[in-house]
Order: sequence, then structure tokens, then C-alpha cells
Amino acid sequence: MSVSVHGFFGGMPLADHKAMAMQRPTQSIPVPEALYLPLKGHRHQPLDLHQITDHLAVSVGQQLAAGQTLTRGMGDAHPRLHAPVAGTFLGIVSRPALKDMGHDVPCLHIQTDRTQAPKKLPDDYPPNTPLPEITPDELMDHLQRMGIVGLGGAQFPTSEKMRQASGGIDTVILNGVECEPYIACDEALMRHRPGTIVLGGRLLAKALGAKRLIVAVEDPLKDSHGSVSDGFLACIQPHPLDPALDIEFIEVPSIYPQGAERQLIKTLTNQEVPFDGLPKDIGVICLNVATAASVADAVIENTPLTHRLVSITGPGIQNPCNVYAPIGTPVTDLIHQAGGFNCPESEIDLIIGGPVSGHTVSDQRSPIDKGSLCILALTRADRPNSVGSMPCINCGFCVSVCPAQLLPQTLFKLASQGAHEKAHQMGMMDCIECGLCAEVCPSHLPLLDWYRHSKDQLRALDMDQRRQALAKERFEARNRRLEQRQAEREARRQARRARLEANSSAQSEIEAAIARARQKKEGES
Amino acid sequence: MIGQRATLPHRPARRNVSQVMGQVLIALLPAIAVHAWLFGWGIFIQLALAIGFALSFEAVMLQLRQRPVGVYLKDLSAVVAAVLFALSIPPLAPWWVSGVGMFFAIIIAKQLYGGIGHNLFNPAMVGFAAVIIAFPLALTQWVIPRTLAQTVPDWNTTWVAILQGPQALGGTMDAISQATPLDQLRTGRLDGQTLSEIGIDPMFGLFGASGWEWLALAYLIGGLYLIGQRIITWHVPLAVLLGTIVITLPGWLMDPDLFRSPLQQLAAGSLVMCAFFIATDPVSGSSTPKGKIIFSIGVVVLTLVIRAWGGFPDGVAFAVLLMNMFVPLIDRYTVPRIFGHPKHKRDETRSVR
Ligand code: SF4
Ligand code: SF4
Repeated sequence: MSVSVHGFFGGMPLADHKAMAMQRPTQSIPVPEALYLPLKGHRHQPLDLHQITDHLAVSVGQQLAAGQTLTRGMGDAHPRLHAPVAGTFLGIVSRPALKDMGHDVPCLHIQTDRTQAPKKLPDDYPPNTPLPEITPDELMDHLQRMGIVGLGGAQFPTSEKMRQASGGIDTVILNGVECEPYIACDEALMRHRPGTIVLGGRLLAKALGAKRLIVAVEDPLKDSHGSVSDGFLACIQPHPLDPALDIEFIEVPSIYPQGAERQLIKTLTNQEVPFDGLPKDIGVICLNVATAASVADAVIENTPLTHRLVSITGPGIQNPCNVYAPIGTPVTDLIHQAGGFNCPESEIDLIIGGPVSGHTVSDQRSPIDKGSLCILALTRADRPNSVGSMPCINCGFCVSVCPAQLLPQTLFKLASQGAHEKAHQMGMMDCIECGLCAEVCPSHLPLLDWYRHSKDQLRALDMDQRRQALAKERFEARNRRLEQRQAEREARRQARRARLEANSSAQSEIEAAIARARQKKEGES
Repeated sequence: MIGQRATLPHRPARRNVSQVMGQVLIALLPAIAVHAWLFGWGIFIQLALAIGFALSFEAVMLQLRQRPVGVYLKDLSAVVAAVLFALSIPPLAPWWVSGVGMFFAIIIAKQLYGGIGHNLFNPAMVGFAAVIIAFPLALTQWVIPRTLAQTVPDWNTTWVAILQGPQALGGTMDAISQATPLDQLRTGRLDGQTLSEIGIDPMFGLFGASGWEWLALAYLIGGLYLIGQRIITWHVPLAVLLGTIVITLPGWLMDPDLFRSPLQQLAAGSLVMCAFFIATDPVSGSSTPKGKIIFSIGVVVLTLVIRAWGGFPDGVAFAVLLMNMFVPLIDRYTVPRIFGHPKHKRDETRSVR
């Protein structure tokens, strides 16, 4: 069966600039002096310190072997961390957060042993590697132990994603569509380890009972340097070990944000994932190719997720390249590996992520986490002219590119007036933060900044409401308990009184009988 | 907060507001050229006057409102309003027509509402409506187009008429001007003539308005350029043009003596200009794709109603202003379906997670 490619509303082709990072071979980085593993899970859930210390699997000053488990059992929102290299655990320190400008994040501080050789990007598995025997439950537990999370940016624990999806999955999609210009870490991986990716996909498909495995990549990758597809095509020949699985390799048009999960699913299946649902509601699960590769590594080599490919690129970087780096490496070390900046630092606009939806990196001491795809250095010359922004002229450019089919100008007006509740009704939470609206806005409005702010506000509001609801519930429960107790007491009293009355009436009956007997006696006498 | 995080977009947008407005001005060049060819030098003086008034008013108001004058003058939006206004008034209209028109357009309709992006009404049309009410006579005296008169007023005549008013020319003014075809149709109809009787006059030319049809063509070309440049989408122009044809065709087919032909409706007045340059004004128009179409159809219907029964020969300006008032309502009921949401139901209990 072959998949026809549909489209999604909005979007825009962007110049990809991927060749910049691809011009050099993938390199590994000399072991950094110190690593700082950020303790910040999926969706910015803050952790308090005692919560962390409770779950540390190591003690301060302890020697660490490479791959040793550092944290455990903090729930799915905070996947496990492992020591990327051998070293000494020095405790928990605060480092500037990569994405939230001006905020700090608690990190596990590791003093590394610099005599060890850096870890290289592992070789590819041969296409006919047999699948190990592992039950779905074992696989999920194992992935959780190995700290496997979505490597496309969201860092959602893969085990949890599988648990939510289990039952009713028909298709596993491996997303090799790089979201934004410049980012090329997935392309590098797909060129080096297509077999590993497909193997990871087969493991996932088998565990989830899926009948189809789709590997999706952008079509220009076909002809940029040789072909990504050749590598894949060699691995997806009908496989004797799982003949029931239908493996397909699909090239999708490179229209930003094609790599966004819901947009990709729409393109491949022509179905929209319901706004309040998950892809599994339409029988699909979608994982990044790098995640699939880390699943394969975790199962076959027993390797925890400790390293990832990061693109260090952009016109401000001396030697743009893809680097295989330990999680927790400070940004400075990565930039150093790529030859530093090629112009004065004051000219540089440093970004984590891509140019359209990325965040400004304000402090180069910030360490990378499992969701860091790209460190991008743009130069002043690439910046919007500093005219600042004009009022919205309602030109509608943003409406015509918005893949979530929102009215970005209306959301902007509501958000900037502080009317977040109204913005919510107009679909603020449906914004996928692709940043295209800001990219085309002739008034240079920082639209995405406003949306992120508004969403933060809404989440805070929601948290408050939840907290209030919880308090209310507790209060009501207490009232109910009190009432119940009161009622019980009342009932007991009633019962007692009834008993007494019954007693007293019995008493009076007795007395009456005695009286009657006495009268009788008196009458007789 | 935002100020601190105002780091996006990280790349220059493809266009800024001045470039968008600049494209609109470029798209108006064919119309200006045809206008000059048909009616002579007048348009250039009118353009200079209108742009001059617009920029001065804008500068003064920005100063008063303590906004950066240079930045906002450079956005060219005042110039676009001025050019549209200049193209709408008779080429020999006296200078104070521009003055009053721009006063209403820039000061009242635009700056008092909060400047670019905040005006509820289309500034050029506010200006035009103001002068058509203030100077009804001056606004009907159009120069006879070259296609009929074989000549156009010379530089001197134009200059004197605009600077000193039409009286300064005495009888010459009557000799070189006449009512517009739409006006003629209206008075003819009021006199009880049938359309075919009125239509014999050479002023109705090939498609219903000699000379004017070339102007309509020039707007069409400019408008297609704007669509090609993706400054506007095809929705509004198509809705206006197609709307006009669909609404007027049945009547004309039934009784051409009573109803004007669709082509005449389009060629004789400013509907084509409206389709590409007025109804497409983003600020005072609807924000939603569906709303834009409803807005356009509304403009067409009201224009045709005013032409047929109203007190003014061409109703575009009033139709646009009336529809501007409905925009908030239209926007409210045409919110598009969001990705992943069911088709009809608007869910109020959206999750934040
Ligand atoms: S692109 Fe910018 S100016 Fe245009 S409607 Fe959207 S927010 Fe307004
Ligand atoms: S950032 Fe949000 S509002 Fe803007 S285009 Fe993307 S999805 Fe639409």
C-alpha cells in the first residue's frame, strides 16, 4: 500500500540552509570539563529541591561510571538522567536556563574525567539485525529506565507516549522532517544510521501492534547531497523477521512547519488529530527519527540516552557542523567546537532552535538538554531592521500562513490587551508556536512572544483554578465529613432518645400495669 | 516579560509596511497614467495637493499625539489614501476639495481613531464622502474624456481651475466638462427615459462609459499585479466583480431598457477600483477570510442599491463606509474553524493542557 501525500492549510516554504551544517562530517566533542544536566522535565514543570534530593540515585562526591543512573522514580514528567561520561558528582547547582531568558534551572553538576575518549556517534546496525524478544511492557519499562524521551524538542517520555497510545495503533510514523531552516541534526543522523532508525521503528511498531511503519523526510533531502532515501530504501526491504509490517519511506513537500506532528499526520493521512485528543485517536503515533534510534540503542546495546546530535550553525559560526555531544554540555563548549564566532560577539544573535520559532540564548553558560536540536548564530545583518514594530494593519498575511487556522492578528490584539481568557476562546492554546505569523508580519510585531506570554498566563490561571478547585473540593469534603459526623451524632441522639422514650413508655406501661394491679387489689380488698 | 523577550522574529520579515504600501502605489500607476491621458494634467496637480495635505496633516497630528513622525510618515499609508482620493475626485476640482477631503480622511478618520491600524473607516472614502456632501456641484463636473472631446484641457486651464475655482474659467468650464456617465444615466432615468434612449449618447462608448472603461481596465491591471505580489488575495476582488455580475445579469437579461448591463455597472463607476483598492483595505475590512467575502458582497449590494435608488450617482464610498460599520459583527460570526476542531460546534471548554 502506498501513501498519498496531502497537504495542510497555511505554511510557507522557507530557504532551508541545511547544507551549512552538513558541509562538515559529524564530529564528537572533547569531554567538557564539567557537565550540567538540567533537571527540568517536559513542559517546564518546576521541581523543588527536596523533591530532587529525594530522588537522587547518587550522593555528592560519588564517582560516576559512564551511563550510571543519576535520578530515578520522579514520575514520567521527569525522565531519568544518566551520567554521560565518567566523573564525579558535585551536587546540584543553578545554571541559566537555555530557553527561559533570565531564569535559572537546577542542574546535576558533574566534574568529568578528562582522560577518557569522547563518545562517538555509534555505527549503524546492519539492516537485517534480528529484533530481540521483548514484550511491550518490558520495552516500556526499559525505555523508562534508559531515560528515552522525544528528541524532537518536546522531551516527552517515550514510554509514557507508548502507554497512552497502546491499543488501537495502526501506523507508526517516524518523523525525519526537520522543522526549521538551518537545523540539520536529524539529517545527519538519517545519513549515518538509517538502519538504526528503522530498527527502532520496528521495535516500536511491534510493541504497539502497528501494521504500518512510515518514515517521512523532506523531499529536497533527496538531491542535496546524494540521497537520504537510498540509505533507508536499503533497510526497508520486506523483512523476514516481521513480514506483517508494511514499511514505507515517504518524501513530503518541504513546507514549514511540515515537521510539526499534527501537520505531518495531516499530510500523511489527510486526517486532523482532534484538538483535545492525541494522534492515537486516529490510530497513529508519531516519533522523531532520533528517538527511534535511541530506542534501538537502548534495547540492543543497553545504552541510556546520554548524548545527542546538535547542529551548531548559522552565518555567525566559523565552522558550522553537527556535533555529537553529551547532555549537559554548556553552549560555550559547543560553539568552541565549531570554531567560535566569525565576528564580534556583539554582532551575534544566539538562538536555541531554529530562526523562526527559536528562543534567544542570553547566557552561553546554559547547558543543553535532551531536546536541544540546534544552536544557531545569526549576525546583525540577518536581523530585522531595527525600526521596531508598527501597529497591526490587519493585512491578513498571518492568517494565510497560520497552520493552526487561527486569526493571529486577533489573538495578538487580545493578548496585548491582557484579555487572555478571550484569546483562549479564539484558540490561543491551539497555536503550535511555529512563528510563521511573525515571520511574515509587515509590521514586525513580536507575535510569537505575545502568544508564549499569553499561554504562560493561561497555564498559570489554569493552575490557579485547579488549585482552587482542589481547595474547594477539600473544603467541601471537610464540610461533608462534618455534616456526616453531625448527622451521625444526631442519629445517635435520636436513637438514644427513641430508646429512652421506648424505655420510659415501657416503664410507664409497667407502672400502669402495677397501678392497675394495685387498683384491682384495692378493689378486691 | 514581553519587552525582555521581544526577540522574535529573529529574521527580517520579507516586507515591511512601507513596502506593502509602496506596492499598492506602484499598482496605481497604470490608473494614474490612463487618468492623465483621458483628462489631462489635472490628476498630477490633484495628486500633489492631496499628498501634500495628507502628509502635513499626518505630521501635525503625529506631533500632537507625540508619535515618531518620521517613522509613521514613511509607512506611506497616508500617501495611499491621498492617491486613492485624488483619483476619485474630478480632475479640475478646486484645491480646497483636497484640503477638506484630506482633513476628514487623515485627521478625523485616521489619526483621531489612533493612527495607522486603528481606523474603523476607510480614510480615502471618508474624505470622498465628506467632499461629495460638502461640494456636490464641484464633484459632478468631470472633464470630458479625450475619447469624446479629442483633446484635454491645457496646463493653463487646469491650473487656473484648480487654484481659483471653476468660476475663474467662466464659460470654458461648461465647454470642457460634463456629467459622468453614471450621473447622466441617473438624471436620464429621473426624466423618464429608457436606458436604450439614454444609451445612444456617444458618452456611453463601447461598454457603457466612453473613456471610463479604460480607467477600469487600468485598475484591473494594477489589481492583478497586487495579487501577483501577494499583497492582496483574490477573494475580495473576485467577490466584488463576480457579485456585481451575478446580481445585475438577470435584470439586464430580462429588460435591458430598465436595467443596466453588468459591464456598464463595472466600467462606468468605481467598482473595479473598489474591488482591488478600496474593499481590500485591510485595516477597515474584515479579518477573517469568510468575512472578507461577506464584506465585499455587502459593498456591491449597497453600491447597486445607491446607484438605483439613492441620491448619489455612484455609491461605492457610502457602501464601503456602511459596511465598515458591520465589520466587528461580521468578524464575530465568521471565525474560521481551527485545525483539529470539529466543523460546527464552537467548544467553550477548551483545555489549557
Ligand atoms: S501579519 Fe502582522 S500586520 Fe498583518 S494582520 Fe497579521 S499581525 Fe497584523
Ligand atoms: S505561531 Fe501560532 S498563531 Fe502564529 S502562525 Fe504559528 S500556529 Fe499560527
